[in-house]
Amino acid sequence: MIRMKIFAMLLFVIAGSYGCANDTSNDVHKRIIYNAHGLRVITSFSDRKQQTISLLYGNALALQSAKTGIHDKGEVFELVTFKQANNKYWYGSYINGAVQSIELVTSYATDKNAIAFKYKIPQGQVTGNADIRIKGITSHRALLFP
Amino acid sequence: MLGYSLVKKLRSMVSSKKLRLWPIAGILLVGIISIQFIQVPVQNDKVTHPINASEEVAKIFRKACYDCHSNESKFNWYDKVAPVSWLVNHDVKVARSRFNFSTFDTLSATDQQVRLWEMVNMVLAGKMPLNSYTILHPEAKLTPHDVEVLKNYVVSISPTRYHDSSQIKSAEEEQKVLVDKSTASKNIPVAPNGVRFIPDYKNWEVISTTSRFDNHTMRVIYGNKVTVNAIRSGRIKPFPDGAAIVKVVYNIIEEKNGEVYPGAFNNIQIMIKDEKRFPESKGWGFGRFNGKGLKPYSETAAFNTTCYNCHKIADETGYVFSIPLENKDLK
Ligand code: HEC
Ligand code: HEC
Repeated sequence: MIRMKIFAMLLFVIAGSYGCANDTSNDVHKRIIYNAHGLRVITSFSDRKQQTISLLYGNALALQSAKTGIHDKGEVFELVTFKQANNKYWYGSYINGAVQSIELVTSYATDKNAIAFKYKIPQGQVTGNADIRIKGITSHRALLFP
Repeated sequence: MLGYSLVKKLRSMVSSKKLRLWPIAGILLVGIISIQFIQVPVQNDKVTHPINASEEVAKIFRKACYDCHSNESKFNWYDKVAPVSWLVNHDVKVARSRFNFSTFDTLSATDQQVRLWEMVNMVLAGKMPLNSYTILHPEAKLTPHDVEVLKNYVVSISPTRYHDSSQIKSAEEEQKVLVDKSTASKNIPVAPNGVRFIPDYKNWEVISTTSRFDNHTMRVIYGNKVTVNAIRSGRIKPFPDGAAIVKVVYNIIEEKNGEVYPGAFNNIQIMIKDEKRFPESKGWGFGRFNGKGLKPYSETAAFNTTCYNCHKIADETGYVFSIPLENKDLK
């Protein structure tokens, strides 16, 4: 019986690791085309010392507020911070590498009809307290996309 | 060497009574001699505006590039013997037409800068000097030290201006325009080669974002469905017809602490894949639209070749630089 159990456990472990090895979509170290699920780019910026490149995505309301500076309920901001990588074919260009962290900010109306924000870190680690992060993420101005 | 062994062979053939081969060898020899007159050898024009660089840098170009990309080509006797000379002449003609170190200083400062970064990247990609040339001229190969010197040189001619107030000002001006929303025009601009601007790119997925320390700009690069599917499934050699890529370029504001922010919008560049329409550039049609007015770049369709020639560096990834690379290629 015990032998059977060990055998079953072994099988389980092998199957499990095999499953993981095949699941590249969630591999945090792989450079991917980031799937923003329909959100649009608000802006992009980078940090040569931290060696990161970021894309700030948003829904239509977030995009609007990044143009006017006036917030509304229902805004969704997603800040994706990538590791900075060398561009293999061009010395002179840094390109976004693997995803380092994802931060999510959503706006809602309080009882007194003021606008407030929720903050989440769906992936990775981020330093700095939530209020400061919210302030930073929601105060970027939108790029011009002609 | 070739000529010498040929003579020896002929002599041994004569002495060993293989005289039946003699007429064939004779015809060959006459043929080789007569083709020598088909083409005039490479001529060297005057050196009018040589590249203005330090001796350390110039020495490297002279050793590795000047035989083709200058009016100071120095060839050995075997380079002058047809049919080798035909290849050499062709290479030199093409090379000089692209850029010429002997007239380099007639180019604008920006054009020189762009060309020099391209040179470094052609070298890093192992495409220059041509392999067919270094086989016979191993002394022209660049050492790792040469490459370091060139890399440092291009960085030195493209200095960073921290907290550039003119960039900050034009970015602020642009923000006012964003709020009026009055700039959108209804006419879709078209490049001289027929490549149309594609306003819908904003709804595509972003394939990459890049930050450049050569020309101090940053880019957001979008791909349409065909492009994104091709990249996700690894089918990019070649990219399928219908693939389209739009690159939006912004100036940047660089701070001493390492932060880099977008400045004002600069231009939009496009690549569309259509094998039938653009057979001379591996099916890629290029388009560039400058400034907020999206003014088509260049007067003639010939610019397409200029874009393509530099994109040859990325031939291993379907002539597209900014695709997501495998882990092993990320550093
Ligand atoms: C044997 C001749 C030869 C030598 C030596 C040579 N090149 Fe070239 N080079 C060429 C030819 C031919 C082309 C055009 C190739 C093509 O587009 O297919 C070219 C193209 C280029 C281009 C692309 C130009 C464009 O139109 O965008 C660059 C950059 C370049 N060479 C740099 C160099 C540098 C730097 C060196 C020296 C380190 C060098 N070459 C040495 C023959 C040469
Ligand atoms: C001197 C070299 C050079 C020339 C000339 C050049 N490109 Fe590129 N191009 C690059 C590099 C390097 C990248 C990727 C790096 C980046 O933009 O950050 C790139 C990227 C692009 C992209 C995004 C897709 C990709 O390959 O990464 C488009 C679109 C593009 N170029 C269009 C053009 C057009 C249109 C022209 C001509 C008007 C042109 N390019 C001329 C070097 C060049």
